[in-house]
Amino acid sequence: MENNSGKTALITGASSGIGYELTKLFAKDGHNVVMVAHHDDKLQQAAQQIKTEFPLIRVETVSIDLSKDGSADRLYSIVQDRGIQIEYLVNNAGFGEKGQFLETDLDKEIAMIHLNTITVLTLTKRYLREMINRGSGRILQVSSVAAFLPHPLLAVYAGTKSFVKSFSESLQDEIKEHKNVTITVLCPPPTETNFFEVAHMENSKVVNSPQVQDADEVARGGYDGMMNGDARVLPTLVAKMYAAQGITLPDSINAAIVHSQLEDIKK
Amino acid sequence: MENKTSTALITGASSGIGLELARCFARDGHNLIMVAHYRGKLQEAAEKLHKEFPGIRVETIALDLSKDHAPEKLYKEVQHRGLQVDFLVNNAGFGEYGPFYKSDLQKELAMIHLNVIAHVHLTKLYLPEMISRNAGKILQVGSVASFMPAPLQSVYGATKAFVLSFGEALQEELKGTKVTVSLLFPPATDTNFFNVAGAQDTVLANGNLATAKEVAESGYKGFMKGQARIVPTLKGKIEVIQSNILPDAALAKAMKKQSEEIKSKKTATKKAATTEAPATTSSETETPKKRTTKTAKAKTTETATPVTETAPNKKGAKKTT
Ligand SMILES: NC(=O)c1ccc[n+]([C@@H]2O[C@H](COP(=O)([O-])OP(=O)(O)OC[C@H]3O[C@@H](n4cnc5c(N)ncnc54)[C@H](OP(=O)(O)O)[C@@H]3O)[C@@H](O)[C@H]2O)c1
Ligand SMILES: NC(=O)c1ccc[n+]([C@@H]2O[C@H](COP(=O)([O-])OP(=O)(O)OC[C@H]3O[C@@H](n4cnc5c(N)ncnc54)[C@H](OP(=O)(O)O)[C@@H]3O)[C@@H](O)[C@H]2O)c1
Repeated sequence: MENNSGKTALITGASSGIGYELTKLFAKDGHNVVMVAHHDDKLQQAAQQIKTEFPLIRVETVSIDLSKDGSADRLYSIVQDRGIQIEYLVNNAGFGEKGQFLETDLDKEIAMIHLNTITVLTLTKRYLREMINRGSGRILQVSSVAAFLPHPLLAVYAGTKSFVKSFSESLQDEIKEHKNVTITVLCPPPTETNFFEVAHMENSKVVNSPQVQDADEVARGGYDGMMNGDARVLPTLVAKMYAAQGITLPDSINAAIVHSQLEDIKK
Repeated sequence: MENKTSTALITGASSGIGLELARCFARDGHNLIMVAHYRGKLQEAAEKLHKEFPGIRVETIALDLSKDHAPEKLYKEVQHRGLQVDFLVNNAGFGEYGPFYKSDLQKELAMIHLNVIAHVHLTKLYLPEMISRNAGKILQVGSVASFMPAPLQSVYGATKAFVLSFGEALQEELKGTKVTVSLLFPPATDTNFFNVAGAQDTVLANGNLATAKEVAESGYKGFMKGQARIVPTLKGKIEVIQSNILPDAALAKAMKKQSEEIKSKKTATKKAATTEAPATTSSETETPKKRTTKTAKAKTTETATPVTETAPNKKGAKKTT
């Protein structure tokens, strides 16, 4: 087992799925972790597992609903108050909602925009400034392969993930001179997590296909890419194929293909 | 049928591309609901159009669309006036220039509220009506920046990437209906935009700009035909084609060059020219900086409520599964 590195990673959405797997990878390398999620029970349980498995690192938790106005800044000051310096920021918390835009719930979509874009932006603003002043730090932004192709039935969700990709790629260029500060965009393919249930897409064709990848593999790709300072990570062959499809086919054709993949399987 | 006295609701109709779009609708005999933030400027623009086209009905509604619930207020006001919206133009938007780790967060949050949330919200409000009439058209204003990273305008570019992805998903969802969604992607255009964004001195603002009129004319034509994607001017078309060919990192580098400040005498002249052009009313005399700070401040005090409402919804939904 490694010694404690003395460095700390803040991971949003650390209580399940990709975020939990990322947390494990940080812990395994001896980094302290600040695990953030909405539901406290689930978060405490996840934190307990990490503590048991990796007793040498420090595990902090903050349970907070990051889809609320001002919540990202509240998280920032909580972490500051605890005197923790963040070397690695992972903007991972996010959710989707499947359905025709005509019928989907606006309030839920606005909360999604808050979590998936405003919180990502705000945490990046706060920590990037610190990292640049300090001259070191790494940020991992969790986007999606949905940033490469229009996603009918996930119209707002894919919009938010396109936002994250564009935003982060702009930043990569802006901070080029700061060699020891990096931003990596992780674009997961469909991944076996709680995501499908939250988004009500358990019956979608794509979710019931071999395209679905394992969260640990996706997290591993993201973690290595981040530590390497890579600009973009497309973990697994499936992710690479999505991106290639997005780049080569016209958007209207991609939209039709994605549409059919997101439709429910016929019973 | 749509050629006869239909009504167009245009956000950001008081200047730039929105004003020129309003003129196109008016010229074809459509009634207008002109929406913008500053009342004086809006009123003046409306009066001008009304004089030019006395045969049409021109309504104005002044409100800050970057505030929570503003789209709902707008919707109710339109209903209250007994108007049916046949054409919805989501055009209001602004940018902010500067390296992200230094730029103003409040202004950027107001930008997301306007360019993304109000955009989605108004679409949500008007789409069902259009679907039930099986008639209607929506124009979403993106930007060539929808297609590529935009260093020094990172948040703005991201909001416009959202508009592209969201709009194209909608187009697919609406196949088989007579309701169309068109996406307009203006290239750099000579409007108040650069002043508001604090980008007057950039290479882009001082380069080869399209006119608002040519952008609006081509947008309007494509919109009426129900065209999916409208990229006005040859320069715009070339930029979009480049975005398909070049890797994002190369595009980002090229975009950053455009967003860098020029350091020549040309700056001063251009600056004077841009501030002069649209400045005619009292509300316009406020500097863009002042205006947007106002927007942002007002925003922060009001935004708390709706998000609170949404939270139980989402979590409730989660628990039931
Ligand atoms: N799974 C996929 O197919 C897929 C594909 C591409 C991209 N992604 C992205 O990957 C990221 C992680 O998702 P996942 O697949 O691992 O899903 P997940 O298993 O549902 O995990 C989501 C995590 O985010 C947290 N979270 C959700 N809403 C929150 C809120 N309002 N405030 C604070 N925390 C919140 C959750 O905590 P609570 O349970 O407490 O809310 C949970 O820890 C997301 O950004 C997602 O968009 C997923
Ligand atoms: N100019 C360009 O180079 C360019 C390029 C690509 C895309 N675009 C897009 O084109 C659209 C129109 O911009 P423009 O170039 O015509 O700029 P503009 O001359 O600054 O016009 C913007 C319009 O939006 C309104 N507006 C701004 N903030 C508002 C708010 N909070 N609430 C309600 N209305 C608001 C403005 O009214 P007030 O003055 O009352 O605020 C004005 O009528 C924007 O979406 C912009 O992103 C512009």
